[in-house]
Amino acid sequence: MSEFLQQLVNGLSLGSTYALLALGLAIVFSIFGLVNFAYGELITIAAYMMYACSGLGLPWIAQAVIGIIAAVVASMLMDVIAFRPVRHADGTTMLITSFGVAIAVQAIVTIVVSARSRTVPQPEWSSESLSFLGLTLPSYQLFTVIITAVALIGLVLILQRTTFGLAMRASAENFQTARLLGVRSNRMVSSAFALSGLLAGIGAVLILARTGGALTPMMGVAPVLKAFVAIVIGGIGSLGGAVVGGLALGVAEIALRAYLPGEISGLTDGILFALVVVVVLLRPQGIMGLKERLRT
Amino acid sequence: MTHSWSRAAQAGIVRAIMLAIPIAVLTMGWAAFKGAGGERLAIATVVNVILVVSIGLFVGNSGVESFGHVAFAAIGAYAMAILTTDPLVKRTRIPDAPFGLSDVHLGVWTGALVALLIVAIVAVFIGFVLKRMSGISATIVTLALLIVVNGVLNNWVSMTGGAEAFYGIPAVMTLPIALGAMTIVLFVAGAFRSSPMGLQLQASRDDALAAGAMGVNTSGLRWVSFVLSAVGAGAGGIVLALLLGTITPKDFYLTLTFITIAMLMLGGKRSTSGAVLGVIIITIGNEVFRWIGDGPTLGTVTFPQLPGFSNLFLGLVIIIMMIARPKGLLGDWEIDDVLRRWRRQPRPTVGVEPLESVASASPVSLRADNVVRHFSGVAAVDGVSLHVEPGEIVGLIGPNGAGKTTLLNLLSGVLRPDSGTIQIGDRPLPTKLHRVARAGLARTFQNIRLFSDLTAEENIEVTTMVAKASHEAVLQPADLLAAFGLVDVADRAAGTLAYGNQRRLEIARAAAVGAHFVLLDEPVAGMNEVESRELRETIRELNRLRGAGIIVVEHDLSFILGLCQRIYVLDAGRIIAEGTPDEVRNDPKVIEAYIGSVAADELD
Repeated sequence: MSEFLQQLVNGLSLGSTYALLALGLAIVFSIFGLVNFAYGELITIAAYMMYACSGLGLPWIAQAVIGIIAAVVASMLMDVIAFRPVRHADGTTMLITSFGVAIAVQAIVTIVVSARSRTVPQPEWSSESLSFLGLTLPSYQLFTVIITAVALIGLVLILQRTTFGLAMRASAENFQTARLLGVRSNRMVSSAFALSGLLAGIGAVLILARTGGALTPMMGVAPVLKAFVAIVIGGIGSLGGAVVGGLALGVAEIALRAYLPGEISGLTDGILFALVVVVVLLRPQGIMGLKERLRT
Repeated sequence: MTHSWSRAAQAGIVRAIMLAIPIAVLTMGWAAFKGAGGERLAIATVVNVILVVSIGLFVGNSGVESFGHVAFAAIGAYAMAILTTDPLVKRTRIPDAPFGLSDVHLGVWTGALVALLIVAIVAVFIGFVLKRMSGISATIVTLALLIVVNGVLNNWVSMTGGAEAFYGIPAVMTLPIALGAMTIVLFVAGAFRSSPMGLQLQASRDDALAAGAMGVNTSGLRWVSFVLSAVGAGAGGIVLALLLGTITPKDFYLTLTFITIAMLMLGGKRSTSGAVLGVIIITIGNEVFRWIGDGPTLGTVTFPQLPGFSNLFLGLVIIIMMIARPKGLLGDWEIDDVLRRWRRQPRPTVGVEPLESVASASPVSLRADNVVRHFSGVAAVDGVSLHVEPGEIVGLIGPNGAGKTTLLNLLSGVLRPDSGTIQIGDRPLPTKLHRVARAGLARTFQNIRLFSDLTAEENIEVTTMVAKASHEAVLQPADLLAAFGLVDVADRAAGTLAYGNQRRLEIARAAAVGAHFVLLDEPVAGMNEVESRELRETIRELNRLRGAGIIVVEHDLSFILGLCQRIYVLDAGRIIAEGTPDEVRNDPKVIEAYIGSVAADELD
């Protein structure tokens, strides 16, 4: 029982990171249909910025803030440089553009820093653990859950209580109509990218805490693929679905790692992606997706 | 140019030769110039041509983006490795391979055939999943395929040796053999693109719904093209395995996927020649940037080492192409188009005889009985019964929201009724969209749905080639172009035609279905009076040519009253009146519901 609870906590902690990342991907997708593959590189950029700051001897909290700001700025720059020109193209053209952005950013990081892995020292508390009701809770997990909860509540407040949030939700529902009603499209898209970058930056801080601070130029690929899976499971384009999908994915991943027989436990990612295919086949609108809208 | 299989084979041969010769000259020249290392790069380039052309066969014709084809290269390469590697090596590397595979030792040619067969079997299954999907969902499935296959290769250690290198594969690949394999792939891709199947698939790429309504079996064609292109990619993997002799799962993952996508996007995913051009440019660019990245020495200056430069180049190429030229450098152009300039004969434009009617000998009627269709609780069509006889022109009118378009979608098989039956003769309307057209029912759309990147002639040709399979009497595209006044614009992309021409083309295309019944959805929407009078004659011509029953949905009352022999009036999902134009004009219920008491005076 406590073994099960322990795994559940692990799963929720991992899942909350995925939920955060998936939300960042879903915000941009819901507004103008871009599946931003380069979202993972925002994580990379935030992480490498933290690495640079740690080289300057800045305290961890300053590194984190600067890293997050860097992801926000990079996200908005990606929009202006690469995505604005293809905004009215079809979904696959935008997806491939983002693929190109991802490769370019990885290459730039390789050129500027190195292809080899680097480490950002993590604060000591992140490697400690708390004992609680017979569960061992690594403090980075607690940290992850708290930060995710704060970020999600903050986001919900912004979306529900502010005019800006209303405009954003309207744009996510139907961008064309929202524009006709006076929502400024460039500003809305920029804000979506900024929010997306913010979530990626926070995600980067959490991922570094989890992995002990290891960096490589390709480090963004695995998280973006997971976020991708989460939004597909949750219902592509639905913000609530992204959160649910992320949590479900985290729990499923931990469960597979814990309970798959040893010789095939490496297949976890393969199984998760096979699951995506099943979801796309059986429920193309995702588990939380809206009812299929009829268009003729 | 007409699309038949013999023409397709011809086009495939010409295209394959015209593309293979420059590649052969380039690669053999490079190999001769650079020695053994040069031959390796030359073969690797040929492998990329095989991969990219194969991916283009599916992506270019179907319009579905794939990130998963490298998985088929991986399957081909690993199948080849496991089947043909000397058992002496395998007994140490994969001693416990299932099915006693560690003792199997096939020859290279047999092994290649078996490996291709395995790729084909996997592709048949994946294609079955993929064939009904489109857009982003399909792309996600292909990406999932890549990741799943990579996961299996990394973790099925007893079979593949896991993430560590699989070595000992007979490294027997030579440049001439690779070029031979490439020429075959070029031929298949070129021929498919020019074939009836290719043209139909391209039509569905431009507009899947319209293609279905014209009888094109989109999902079946997607399936066929997917399997063909997967086998091509598998062949690329096999050649690569025989070149390298040592492979790892990483060789067939994101890096190769990135590179092949960049190559395809650069040259133009729709054109076989474009795929080849993309490979050549990126390979040269990659080598140059790799050379820069390695810190070359020019005279006395040594540049610093900058790894990652070639990837930066790839990424930038993709971004720039997507922004500036999403259809790639060549777009739809093929290398053999230069020959066509000399072969083209002028079209006869004057003195066309009136077309002879090909009215069907055994006429049947179209009837709907008590058809009901709800949308989230609201009955859009609520118990409608109607019938249309061969040769009749029937109007369907009603105020906005009366359910006209829903009824048309039900009659044409785009929507299924909740209850009630629709029959052509004594047979129920087929459930699959493309079978509806084949059963003898064609339609146009309210917001014109042409295959916009195909020429006007090809739009009609797609339809006649489907119709040929199910009917005997079919009108020739050239005749239809003449009958509907489209000869002058026959070679232009349908999307670039003027509005009136697009409307006429859509009707000509519907006529080409060879249908017993044609449904026209608001054919004169957005037309002025002169144009709409011309269109009335076009519809009469359609009626005369085919002897077909025609249903016209329209807002324009005078148009309907002047054209139709019989009219149904729909209001709130029910038929409230039926009769000749005169009867309908004077029916008080119609005046009440549709025209309004004031407007009624104006009509008299």
